[in-house]
Amino acid sequence: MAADAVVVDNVKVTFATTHALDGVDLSVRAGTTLGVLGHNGAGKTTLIRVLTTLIRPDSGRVVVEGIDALAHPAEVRRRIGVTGQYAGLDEFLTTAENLELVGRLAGLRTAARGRARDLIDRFGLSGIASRRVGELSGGSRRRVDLAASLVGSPTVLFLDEPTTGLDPTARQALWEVVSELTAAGTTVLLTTQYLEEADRLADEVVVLDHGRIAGHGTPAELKSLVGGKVVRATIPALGVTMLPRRPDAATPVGGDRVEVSFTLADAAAAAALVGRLATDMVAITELDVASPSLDDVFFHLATTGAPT
Amino acid sequence: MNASAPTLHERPLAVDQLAILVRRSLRTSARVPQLLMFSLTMPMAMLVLFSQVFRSVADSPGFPVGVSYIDFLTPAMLAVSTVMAGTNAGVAAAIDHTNGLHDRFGTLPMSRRLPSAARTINEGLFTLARGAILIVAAVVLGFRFHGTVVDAVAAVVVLVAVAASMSALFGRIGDRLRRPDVVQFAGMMIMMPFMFVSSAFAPLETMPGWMQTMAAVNPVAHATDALRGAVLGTGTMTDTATALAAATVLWVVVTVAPDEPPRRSSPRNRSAGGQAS
Repeated sequence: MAADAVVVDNVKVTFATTHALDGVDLSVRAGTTLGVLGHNGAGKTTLIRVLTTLIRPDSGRVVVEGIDALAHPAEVRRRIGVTGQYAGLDEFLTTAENLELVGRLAGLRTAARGRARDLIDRFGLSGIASRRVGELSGGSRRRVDLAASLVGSPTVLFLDEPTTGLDPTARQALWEVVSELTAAGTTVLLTTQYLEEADRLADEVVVLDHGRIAGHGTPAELKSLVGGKVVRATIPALGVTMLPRRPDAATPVGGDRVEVSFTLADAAAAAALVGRLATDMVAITELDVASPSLDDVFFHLATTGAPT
Repeated sequence: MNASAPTLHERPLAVDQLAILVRRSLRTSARVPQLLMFSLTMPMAMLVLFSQVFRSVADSPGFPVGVSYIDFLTPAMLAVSTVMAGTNAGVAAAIDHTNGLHDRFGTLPMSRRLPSAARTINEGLFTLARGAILIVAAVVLGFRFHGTVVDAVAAVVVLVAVAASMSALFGRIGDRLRRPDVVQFAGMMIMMPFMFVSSAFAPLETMPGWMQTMAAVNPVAHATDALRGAVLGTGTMTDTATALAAATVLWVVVTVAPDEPPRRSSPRNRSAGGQAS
């Protein structure tokens, strides 16, 4: 208990007609990263807003760094950093001015300017330090926003879908920054729609579905649940019987064709299967080899139940 | 458990936080030159137009004898320009919702009241600048100040007070509506009665009774009367006190109003609304 930096206990939030959070329990051990995996509308943003003192839950308990967040929100605000789904920056101010603004508001006073310079160096932002945030690309803006959330040296960092809408390069860059932070001992709670992102960053993962925790485990446990690779192919309906192996799922896609999918242990098995598909006499019109998606996780959770 | 540097967790000074927020407001205003130009010169343009178009009002039966229309109109334009200052504060508040800063402020160790206080100070300063430009234009058109130094000081105090109350009112509206374009339109609707249900452009006596009743609760109308009294040298302490009281009542009412609207929709819907604008 003492080693938990974040504890959420039976938290419920109800908007006009929907239960945005319907009795959520979770905890994050100090210095580790928890990934909250879920679709749009699962309650991820509501959870972040409760944890960052922006909304009060209807019931339940929230403890951050040993402080009751509902009784002492101001104390919690001194210890947390938040990067929301949309950057919280003044578009008319430059990168440096935004960081200094947040620093002064966090209570750094005259040290705020120096702190802004440190973060600009550390995040490689010197090229855009004196450019207005409104002129920056989405990826740069997200990096400035992340730097802004670190100005007050938070011990717990909340990231709400930090890479949604970013191109692969920007996503990679952001992942590296988060990895460095966790290596330095910061506790991180991040929400994501991407299994790959949770796998890359999180020590543990909870799956959030319709405001409830649907599953909980390490990324490896979730991956073993859904398998390593998914091969999908679109073939004529008549060709299904000629496949080298029985597909795990087959969905008609119209025009007398079906999409068949195979779940395989790893990339090598996927490559072998694709090779056999090619040599058989089946006319393939679409072929796709992918890592399992969040949908696959939900499919397996629904059919086999939660891993823990 | 609190392993981080203790200096960072000292209670932040509200004065320091307010200072940086005011600097931010001024910077942001200065960086949209078109907006800056329009907001500073719009009342001047209105003064020039109205003083020429409505000069025949001076010949109407209820008009004070021996007063030139420009002397009658200039204090009114000063009062009315504070309503425009208010709309700017409303738009600034709404922009903080669309760019996510409202939420960032909510997660920082600062008072919820500070952003609104900073906007009010910003609009107070802009009102003084706008007033100075307006007076220069008015003098060119033949305006003369007939009051004493005390009248002049009272006029400045009333002007800043009513600007502060307008900025607080529209800031609240911006916080509620959360979209700059909607605030812009709503601002127009709300501006009209504040501006026209008063003696700003024509004497109240020429208007129907219900309008005169409405004017009695309009702080802009009371500010107009006090400013006009100061300009014409006919003002009393009661005029000044009434104008200050009316502005204070409005300021208190909107300031004690609840911070956040009751939850009507999920935050996701709100975010989507924010993105759309």
